[in-house]
Amino acid sequence: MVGGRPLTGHLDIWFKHLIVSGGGRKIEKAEDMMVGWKDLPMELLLRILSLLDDQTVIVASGVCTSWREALCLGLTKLSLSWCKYHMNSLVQSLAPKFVKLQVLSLRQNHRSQLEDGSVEIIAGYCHDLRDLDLSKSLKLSDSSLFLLAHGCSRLTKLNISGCEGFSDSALAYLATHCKNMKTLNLCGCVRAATDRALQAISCNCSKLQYLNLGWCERVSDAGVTSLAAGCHDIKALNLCGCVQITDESVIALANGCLHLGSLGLYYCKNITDRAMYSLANSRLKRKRGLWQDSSREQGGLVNLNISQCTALTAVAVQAVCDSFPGLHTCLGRNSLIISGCLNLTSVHCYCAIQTHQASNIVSADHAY
Amino acid sequence: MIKLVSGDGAEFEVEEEVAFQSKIIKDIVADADDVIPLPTVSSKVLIQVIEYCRKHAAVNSFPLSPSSSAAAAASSSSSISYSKPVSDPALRAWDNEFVKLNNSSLFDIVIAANYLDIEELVDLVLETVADRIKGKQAQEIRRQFNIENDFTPEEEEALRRENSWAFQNN
Repeated sequence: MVGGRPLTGHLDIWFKHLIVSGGGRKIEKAEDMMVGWKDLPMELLLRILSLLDDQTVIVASGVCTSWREALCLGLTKLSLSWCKYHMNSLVQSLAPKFVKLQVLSLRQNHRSQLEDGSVEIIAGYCHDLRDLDLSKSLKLSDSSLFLLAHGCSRLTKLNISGCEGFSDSALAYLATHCKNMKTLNLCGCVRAATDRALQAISCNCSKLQYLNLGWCERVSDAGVTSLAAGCHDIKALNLCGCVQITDESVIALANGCLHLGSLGLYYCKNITDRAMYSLANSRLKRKRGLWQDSSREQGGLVNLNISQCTALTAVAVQAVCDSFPGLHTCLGRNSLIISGCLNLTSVHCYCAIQTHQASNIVSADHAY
Repeated sequence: MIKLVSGDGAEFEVEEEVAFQSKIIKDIVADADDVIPLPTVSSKVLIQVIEYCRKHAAVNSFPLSPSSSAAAAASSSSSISYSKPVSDPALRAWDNEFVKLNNSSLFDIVIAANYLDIEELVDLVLETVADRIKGKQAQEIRRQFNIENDFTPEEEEALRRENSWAFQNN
C-alpha cells in the first residue's frame, strides 16, 4: 500500500485535487508559450485593430515590441487624412515601420502639408503599395512622381487630383513604370494631364479602367483618341470641363472602348449630335463584340453627363437614351444628366415615358 | 453525446449541437470517435466555452423568441445556424453579459475559441477588446492588458514624439 492514500470517503476530493493540481502544471506550461495579450496571434491583433481608428492603430504599435512587429508585418491599410498639422513627421516616422502597406490615404482636406521628402520615404519603404491617395497635395513636385515610379511600381490606383505641381513629363514617366494602373484620378491636374501624358498612359497602362480628367483643359482630341486606341478596358471616363475636345474624341471612345459605362462630358461645348449618334450606334458593335468573347457586360452606358453641352438636339440624345436601357432621366435613377440644356427637355427614358403616359390616361379619365 | 477532454484531464459530455458550434470539432467527429482531447484548453476555459456554445446552440435550434421569429421566418432554415446571433437582441444581451470578464480571462477564451474555430465567439471577444482599447494611450493599454513595456528608452522617446504628432490635431 502506498502511504498517504486517502480513505474511501475522501476519494472524490482526492481526485478533484489531482485534476486541479495536474491542470495547474499544464496551464503553466501553456503559459510559457503564450503568456498573455502581448502574444496574441497577429491575425487576431489585426482583426481588433481593423475595428479601431487610425490614431488608435498608431498607439497600438507603441504598446510593446511584439505588437509593433505584428503591425509592421500585417498592417496593409492606413489613412492619415485626419492629420491636420504633422502629416510629414508622421509619414516619415510610420512609413519605414509599416512596410507592408497596400492602401495609404494622405488626402489633405484641411490644408496642403505633404512634401516631396515624405513621398521619398514612402517610395523607399512601401514597395507593396497598390492604392495611394495624394489628392490636394499642392506642395508636391515632379520628384514625387519620379520616386513613386521607381519605388511603388505595383500601384493600381492613384489619386493626385488637385495636385497642381506635377508636369506632364513626370506623369508620363510614372505611366511607363506603373503598368498595372487601373484607376487614375487626375482631376484638376491641368499641367500634368496633357495629350503627351495621355499618349504615354495609352502606350503603357493598357489595364486602365477608371480615368478622371475633370477640368484638365489642355486635353484635346489627340489625347483622348490615343487613350481610346490603347486602353480598351476603360469603364469610366470623366472629361467634364475638357473644353477643347470635339466629336472626334467621343467617336474614338465609342469605337475603341466597348466597356465604357460612364462618360462625363459636362461643359464640353464642342460636342454635337455626331458624337451622340456614334455612341448610340456603338451599342450594336458592343453586342457583336460581346457575342464573340462571351463577356457578361450587358449594361453599356449607364451614366452620361452632357449638362451644358448646348449644341445637342433632343433627337440625337433620345437615340442614345433608346440605345442604352441603363440610361435614365426619371426621378430617383437620373443617370442621363442633361441639366442646363433647354433643347433637351423632351428627352425621356423608357420608364419616364411610360409614367408620363400613365398619368396622361389618369388625367384623361378625370376629364370625362 | 460527445466527450471533450480538457488539457488538465477533466471530461465534459455535451450534446452534438453544442459541440458543433466549433467547426473544428464538427470536422473531427466526422471521421473519428466521440472522445475529443483538447490538450491546449484548460478545464476552466472549456467550461466557459461550453457555456457559450450551449446558449448559442439552444438559440439556434429554437430561434422563436418574439424578436427573432420574424427574421427566422424571413430567412430559410438552412441559414439559421449563423443568422441568429446578430439578429436576436436577447442573445446579444446575453453575449454582452458573457464577456464581462477580466482581460486575462478573455485572452484565454479567445485563444481557445480561435483554436476550436468558433468564429462568433472570436468576433465577440475581439470586439469587446477593441472597445476596451479605443481612445486609450499606450501606457493605459499596457496596464489594462498586463503587457510589459519592452522598448528601449530611445524607442520610447521616438514613440512619444509620434504620439504627440498624431494627437496634436486641433
